[in-house]
Amino acid sequence: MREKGLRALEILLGVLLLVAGLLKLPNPQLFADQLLAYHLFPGAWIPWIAVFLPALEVVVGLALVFRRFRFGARLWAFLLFAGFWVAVLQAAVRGIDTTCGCFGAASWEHTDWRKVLENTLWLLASGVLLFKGR
Amino acid sequence: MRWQQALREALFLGLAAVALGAAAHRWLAPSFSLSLAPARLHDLPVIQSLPRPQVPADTAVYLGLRPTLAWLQSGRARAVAAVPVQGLAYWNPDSPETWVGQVLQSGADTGLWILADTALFYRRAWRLQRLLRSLGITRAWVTAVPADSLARLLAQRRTP
Repeated sequence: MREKGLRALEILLGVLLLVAGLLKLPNPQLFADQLLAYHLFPGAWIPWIAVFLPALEVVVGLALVFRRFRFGARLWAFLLFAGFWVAVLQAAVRGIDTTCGCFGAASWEHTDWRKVLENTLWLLASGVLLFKGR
Repeated sequence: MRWQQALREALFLGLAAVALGAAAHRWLAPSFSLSLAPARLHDLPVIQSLPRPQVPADTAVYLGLRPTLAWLQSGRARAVAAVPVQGLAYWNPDSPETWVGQVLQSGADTGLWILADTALFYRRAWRLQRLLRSLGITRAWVTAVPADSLARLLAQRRTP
């Protein structure tokens, strides 16, 4: 039962990352703009993150869904969700109210405290998967 | 959790992501430059599509967001005094030059114009523009100019 639950969690996180990555991958310009609004990264990093972060989400999402390289995929998932959590938290603390950019052009959520709470749950879920999964 | 295995697999997945990212960049977004300077990011279609009125030489005013709010409430900008700008626009206390505004007071032409130094805040700018219009401020523009141009503009417009 516990294993089934963890597997369901793994698929859920995998699908989430996969969809998020696929939506951002074709439009790095839009994602770069959304990243800029966070005021978190040096400008020169933005285009690189805009191109390669969605690709990483896709790869990690696929690995989680199909359970390939699962330890590495869980590690990346945890790091990714930790990064998202920090980004949204600092935006909320600094009063930067922008779209989260999580799903590219389909992003509708803002970097508010509700989003921080949501990201906290995703981070906890990925942590459970990383530290409790087999 | 097998950490050594996890690190090896993570490295492999990272390399796969680099390959996928490079392929996606080449095939899906070849015009997107990885060396894009932040200063060029203001050239977003949404910003370019907005009207860009000329700055009246005699009335442009330096504004940060809080000064903007105070100024809007000062009576010099009566028509927009009630606009809750503070809840809408990002204000960075370390760079008050981020925003410069212009209220054009000539009867029916009353309006607000905000220049942003880049397009960083364009979504918020759209929201501000929509709000102003919903309040009947029909002449409200938000646009972006390159940071260096804005700095020059501010230097010219500040009262000696």
